[in-house]
Amino acid sequence: METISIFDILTKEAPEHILQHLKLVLISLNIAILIAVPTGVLLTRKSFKKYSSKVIAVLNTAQGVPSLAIVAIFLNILGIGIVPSIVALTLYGLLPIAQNTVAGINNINYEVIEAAKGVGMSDKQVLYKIELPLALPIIIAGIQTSSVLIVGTAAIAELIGAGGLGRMIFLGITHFLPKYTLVGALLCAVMAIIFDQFFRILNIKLTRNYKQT
Amino acid sequence: MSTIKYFINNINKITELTYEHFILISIAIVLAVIIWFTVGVVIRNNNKLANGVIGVGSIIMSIPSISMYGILVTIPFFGLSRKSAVTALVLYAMLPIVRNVYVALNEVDKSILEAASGMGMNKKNVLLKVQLPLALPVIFAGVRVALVMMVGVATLAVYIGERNLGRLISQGITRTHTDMVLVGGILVALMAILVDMIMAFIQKKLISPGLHNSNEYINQEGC
Amino acid sequence: MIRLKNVSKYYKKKEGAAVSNLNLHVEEGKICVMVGPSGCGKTTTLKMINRIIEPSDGNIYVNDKNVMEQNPNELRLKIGYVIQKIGLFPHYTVYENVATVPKLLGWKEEKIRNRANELLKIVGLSPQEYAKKYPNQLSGGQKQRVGVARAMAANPPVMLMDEPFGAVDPITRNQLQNEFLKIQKKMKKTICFVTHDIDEAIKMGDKIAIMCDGKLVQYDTPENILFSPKNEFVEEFVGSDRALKVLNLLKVDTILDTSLPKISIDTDSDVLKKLALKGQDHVVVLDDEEKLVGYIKLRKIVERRSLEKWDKYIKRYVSTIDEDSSLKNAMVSMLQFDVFNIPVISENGVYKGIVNFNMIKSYISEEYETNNIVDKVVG
Repeated sequence: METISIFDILTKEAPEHILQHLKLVLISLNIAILIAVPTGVLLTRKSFKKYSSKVIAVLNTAQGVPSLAIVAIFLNILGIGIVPSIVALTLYGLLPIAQNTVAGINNINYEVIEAAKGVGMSDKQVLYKIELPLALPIIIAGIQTSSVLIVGTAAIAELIGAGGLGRMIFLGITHFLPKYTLVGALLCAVMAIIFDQFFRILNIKLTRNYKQT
Repeated sequence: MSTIKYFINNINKITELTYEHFILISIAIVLAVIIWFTVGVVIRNNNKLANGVIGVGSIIMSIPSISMYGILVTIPFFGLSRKSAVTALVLYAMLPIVRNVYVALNEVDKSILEAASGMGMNKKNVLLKVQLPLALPVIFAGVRVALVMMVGVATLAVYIGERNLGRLISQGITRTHTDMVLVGGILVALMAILVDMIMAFIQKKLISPGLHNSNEYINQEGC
Repeated sequence: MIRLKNVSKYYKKKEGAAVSNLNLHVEEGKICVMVGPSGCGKTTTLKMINRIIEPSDGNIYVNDKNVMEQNPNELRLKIGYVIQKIGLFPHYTVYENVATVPKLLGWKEEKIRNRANELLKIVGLSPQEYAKKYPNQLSGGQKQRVGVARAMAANPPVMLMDEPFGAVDPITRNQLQNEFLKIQKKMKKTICFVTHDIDEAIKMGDKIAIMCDGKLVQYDTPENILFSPKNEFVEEFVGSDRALKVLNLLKVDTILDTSLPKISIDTDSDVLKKLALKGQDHVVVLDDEEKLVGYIKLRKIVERRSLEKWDKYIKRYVSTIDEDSSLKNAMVSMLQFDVFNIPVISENGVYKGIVNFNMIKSYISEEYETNNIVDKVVG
């Protein structure tokens, strides 16, 4: 096996793992967005505002638990496989998005909101036409951070049977096959960089017209 | 309950692993501060170079830690040794430290610098007595971010031969031993919080009270 | 003393000069205020004196030494510098801010401490209360006081001030201006002062340099700038109300009337009779310490009553003003109390003389006439 060339690993074995990895990342990221953005919005509403700093503080501490431990804990709760992996990844990706949603909305100048109310917008209109669009750059930045985290943690999720590029990395480490480790690690790094750059550029394109200064 | 029992029964092993964890991040943060602080100061007046360096830092930051370790161990010079682990941690600290040093030095209110040189301070004195002390809160924030991150990232270094709290988690996975995983995970989280608190304490001692709770002089964004 | 000889500054070759061929001489112990619309080159000129900006051409001398031949930092240690944004070091206490230059100069700790405390008292901040505070605990006016104290710390003979009172509210500004003038009376620094506010220039300047497009348009005393502006630009810049500004500038003692007879409260009635015979009417009554008591109108009394026990006819003046008040203050009081005469008294109440509405009027119109004639002859 050690004689297999890097080129062969890349063309024959890697594509399957790349696809599996992408699947894990995209599913978890989407679920994370669907949960985190509404939660973040909720935390900025009047009746919940007083809890927002506490909730964020708790989530912040949770983020201090290493990804490895999060993954391991879900192994014990949900067993091995793709589902526990996705649950772990989703949870791990929640915080940056929720945090940035709260920050993005709270950072909007109060005068802007007041002006919107002043021209007769309802609370719902203020949210959809003013708050969310103005907070979008920061929310997307949160998604960007989250995507990078999930790509990395997905590799570790192999330890509970997620598959993906992590399988190549750990296979290489446990069986002393440095080529596998190298290819898996590089591909995983490239994927993270691509996600990072994708959201960065998306942010610039989307928001160049109304960047808040 | 069983978690606490596990903790008490294995206190010696856990203490040793915690100590190793602490030593690893200590070595890494000292090296990182020396290297990246110097880089930040050197590039402070060169916007183009600074953008390049910070760009490299942010790409490094987006590389997953398991990938970083995976790549480093395949380089013969590093291999399965502490060198790989320390190098990875130092590399991750690049963005928060370099960026904060650069931003902080450049955001110091120009009128304060003009007053300083107008009073007859030479360039070295302006940098050492005025610019750096004023930039210190933001620089410190960068170091704190780097340090807290290191505590977490270090856990994965067990797969490249480090012995630290991550070992409790990785062994807990292979043995499906929940208590081991929980003890490891909680201790790492606690260490991150503790390290942050220690840094906050040092920061309070180190930074002039004139700068406490004040964003007036420095734009604190990007930390 | 500060002397600028043919000084020019070009930022880019293609554009015009920011400052062109400027000659200016600030005498020792005097305040020269450079004033003009924004972009006229006044700040550039100021910053060339301590080489924050390097001149492109010409020579600048501070106390007869060419600034270009000195190390800029050593030069600046000898020149006090105050800027609009103050630039206090936020990480230093008030004391440490004031001590900055003495420390750079290597003074002994005790000397620095004494000097800093002395300076804080001079600028009106009690050292006990303020020395240990940080700038973010001070109001705008207090910050500016510390800024001034810091600039004077090493007792520099020369000071440069760039809109030093521009960032505070009008009331505080007025207060700071007055205090600074009082300090300057004692300290006698040679000062270059930049402002865009002509009123401030008239108030603060021994001489005013009016600048426009990098050139010096007129350099003269405030009186001459007001009475005989050199051209339309100056006239317009000074404003159409320059007659009123002159009043602000002139102290009451310039036209103080001391000719009215003064009598002491215990004067014999015979003296009064003699005065009445001489045709005097308005007589000022003082006590035995020369302090003002009031006045009597002789004519009315002589017509109807005897002058025995004349002191019951003494009337009080409705208002008095201090001897260092401006003519404008005098006018304001006259209008406010509907009177034509106001007695001027010293700080401790001693009578100095009377200002009279008609005298102010004729003084102003005379000044205008003579100066206009001069203008016509010259121009």
